[in-house]
Amino acid sequence: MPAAATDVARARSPLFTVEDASITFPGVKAVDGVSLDLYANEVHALLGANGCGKSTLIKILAGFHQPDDGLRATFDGSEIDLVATEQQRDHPLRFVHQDLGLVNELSATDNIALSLGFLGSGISVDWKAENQRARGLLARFGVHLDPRRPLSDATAVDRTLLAVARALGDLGDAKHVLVLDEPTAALSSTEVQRLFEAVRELRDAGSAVLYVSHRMDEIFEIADRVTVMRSGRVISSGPIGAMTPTLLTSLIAGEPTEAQAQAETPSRRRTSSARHTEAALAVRDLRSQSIGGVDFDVRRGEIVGVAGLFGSGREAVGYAAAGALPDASGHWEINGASFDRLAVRDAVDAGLGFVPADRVAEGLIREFTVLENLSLAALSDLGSSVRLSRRVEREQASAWLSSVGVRADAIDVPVTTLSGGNQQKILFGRWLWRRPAVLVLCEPTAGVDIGARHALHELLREQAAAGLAVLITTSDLDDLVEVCDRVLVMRNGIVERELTGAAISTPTILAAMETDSGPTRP
Amino acid sequence: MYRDSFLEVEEPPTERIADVGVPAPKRPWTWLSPKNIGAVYVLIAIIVVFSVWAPDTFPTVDTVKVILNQNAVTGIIALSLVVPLSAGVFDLSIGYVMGLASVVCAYLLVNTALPVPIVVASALIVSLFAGAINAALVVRLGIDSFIGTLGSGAIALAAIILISNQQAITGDRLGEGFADIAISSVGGITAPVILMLVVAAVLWWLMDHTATGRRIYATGFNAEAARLTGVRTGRLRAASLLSSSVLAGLAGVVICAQVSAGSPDIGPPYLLNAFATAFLGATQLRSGRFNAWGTVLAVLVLGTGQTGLSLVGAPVWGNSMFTGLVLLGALAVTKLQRRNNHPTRTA
Repeated sequence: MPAAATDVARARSPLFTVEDASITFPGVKAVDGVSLDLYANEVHALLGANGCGKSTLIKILAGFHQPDDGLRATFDGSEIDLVATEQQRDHPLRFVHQDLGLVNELSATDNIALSLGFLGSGISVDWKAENQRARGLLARFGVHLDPRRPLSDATAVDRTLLAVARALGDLGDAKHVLVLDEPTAALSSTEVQRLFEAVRELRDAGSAVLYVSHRMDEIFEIADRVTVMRSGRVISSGPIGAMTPTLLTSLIAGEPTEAQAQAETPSRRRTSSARHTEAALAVRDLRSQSIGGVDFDVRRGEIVGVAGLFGSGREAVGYAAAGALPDASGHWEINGASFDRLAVRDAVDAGLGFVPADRVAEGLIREFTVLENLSLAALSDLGSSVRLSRRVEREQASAWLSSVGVRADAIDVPVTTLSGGNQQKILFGRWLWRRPAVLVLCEPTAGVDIGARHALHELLREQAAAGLAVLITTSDLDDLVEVCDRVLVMRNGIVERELTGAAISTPTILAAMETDSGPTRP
Repeated sequence: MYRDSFLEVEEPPTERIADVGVPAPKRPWTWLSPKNIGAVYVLIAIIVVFSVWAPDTFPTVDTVKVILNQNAVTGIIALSLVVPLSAGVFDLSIGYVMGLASVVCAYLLVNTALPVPIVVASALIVSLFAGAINAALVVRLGIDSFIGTLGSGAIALAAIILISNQQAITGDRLGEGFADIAISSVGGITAPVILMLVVAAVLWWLMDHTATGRRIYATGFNAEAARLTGVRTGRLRAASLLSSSVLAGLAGVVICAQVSAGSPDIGPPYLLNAFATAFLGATQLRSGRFNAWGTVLAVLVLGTGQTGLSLVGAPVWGNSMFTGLVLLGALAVTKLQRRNNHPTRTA
């Protein structure tokens, strides 16, 4: 344990401080008066559940968001302006984002040159020097790969280390802060150890590392200090020695909110007893690149949630269940029809509706009006094949708009002018119009404000009470706690636990997602 | 996260001409706004300018007939692009397919005794076959439509040269009954013009008044979202490529009848013009969406300007200059409008 290093750090003043960081988005204070001190020779873990504001905080530090007034940041004793320094080459804060930001089709040399600048004269690149620089940087982090080969050939951890090397490449021995945003999401446990070795070396050489993660076990292994955020605020901050996994989990989850407490009352769980027993969606041995054999049923009137960390296979389950993943295999039964291969089209015909995770890229047709987006799935029922009855379309669309609580005069406006919550209601309405038997939702409340989120939850409960089978895959624990009758917790591509009734609470879900001996992948 | 990369390569959202395709509101004054039918005002301006410039030759009934007759083929070939472009695929083979149809027509008329309807049907079937190849390349194999149809176009060109031996195919039969396709008329309006209007009307109905049309637009704007809503995007794209080939073939038959020859180099020059007109048409009436009447309007604007220029004896480069300026002007104006009233998020 790095106790010695911590003591040394304690005696000095912090290398980087940020005070009173706040940012207000329309309707919500995403980060609220957060202060953070980072010391050289320390790994500082930043923890919090999804939506707690830690990603937004990272974006403020990166100068990506203009924070509210009052923020003060210092580096090495002197004040700095985060937004202004963003573009500067000597920016002391270095970031490795979750997606690494590498171009996998290019080589390590190319990737390094792209961000550090090309060597050589103005008219020709000195490839020999480029390759040499790349080799040097990679060697520093224990990566042995041919810098001229495309990165797609490299392992996940080599790519991660390359991203770190590139982030620090031009700094030499200068003081710096390294921000690692969930770097282990895609790594196996042996790979995680290699990354940790590199992080420890950096720490011992003087880096201040801010380490953002979801994984509890890692925090105790790598961090010297830990800060927990919840609802945009710092809830707790201190040395890791003073923490236990249980304490951390409860800090991350917080006290049950009023809504959650309400949700625990028997009235909400009525669906468990009143629910029909027939399965509207039954999936057996569902497999894909990131799912390794999943079985589940969703009965009529039931809302089933799928939880799991990034990379647990949770994201793919909804897509695979709806036939949207070309590489998925398994056996599906939708509303009585069975399939050994499933395309979205067949699923839709059988009575399934699918709301994908990315509202803009995969859900909405941005160039369409609200009306056209709403009616897209129901077109076959409007008039004949040679004539679309636009009168019926408008009448029914108006009815749907008011039933989902969007003002009816919005019918002809471009769908992009609606708020995120209303856009999501349009996507729900698109399917509900067809009166489906099954609705599969991915991240249904992402980017939706509190009020609209409540309305969406209410809508789902109503529809379920009327007999709709709902499957929700989400990273937002509130979705699970507020509406789900059953929660499947995914880990490493399989359903690790199934929670029902009172067991569906933020702490239990978090614990089921995270408490693990470390990821072991097939 | 899970989308096919095919459309992305072809049409990055920021580069797309069709940014926000909101149908025109119903009120007459907004319908008449220059934002909606700017080309009509340009057309009026062109007519005024040339009427003043060449008062003896330009403002006559004959000029109107010439403009219509000369541009009927341009209209049909441009209209052939409305469906594939709406579905988000390019068809660069139409010029060659048009040429192939005209050469096949002339060859069969001259070298066989087949009756005219069979000859026309054969030319259209050959075109349909070319479309089927395009559909297989683009939809089945997933080749980018821009490159795929360029390649199939080159093969069509090879077929043109093979059949024609690089010479215009002429013969007596081309001047007989077959020529009726070009010259029979109703009330002074020739068959090709009527054909163009019929094609436009059918496409208008398809795109605006059927579920299929709506799904084609959805496919072109966001193929992944359309697919995830259960739209058969592949099938629609394949059908769109078949339709463009058949319409290009139709244009080939008409041009063959008009010039009474199957010329090996008559089709390809129409390609650029067709694209220019289809894109210009997309800025009209249903801004941001490729549409039939907008395309016809664009054909008339460009045709009127070009006829006017030739009547006043403008230099040869004048035509191309005019086409280029009108196209770029229309696109620039549309872009600027979009930038000014860019949709902003409100609650």
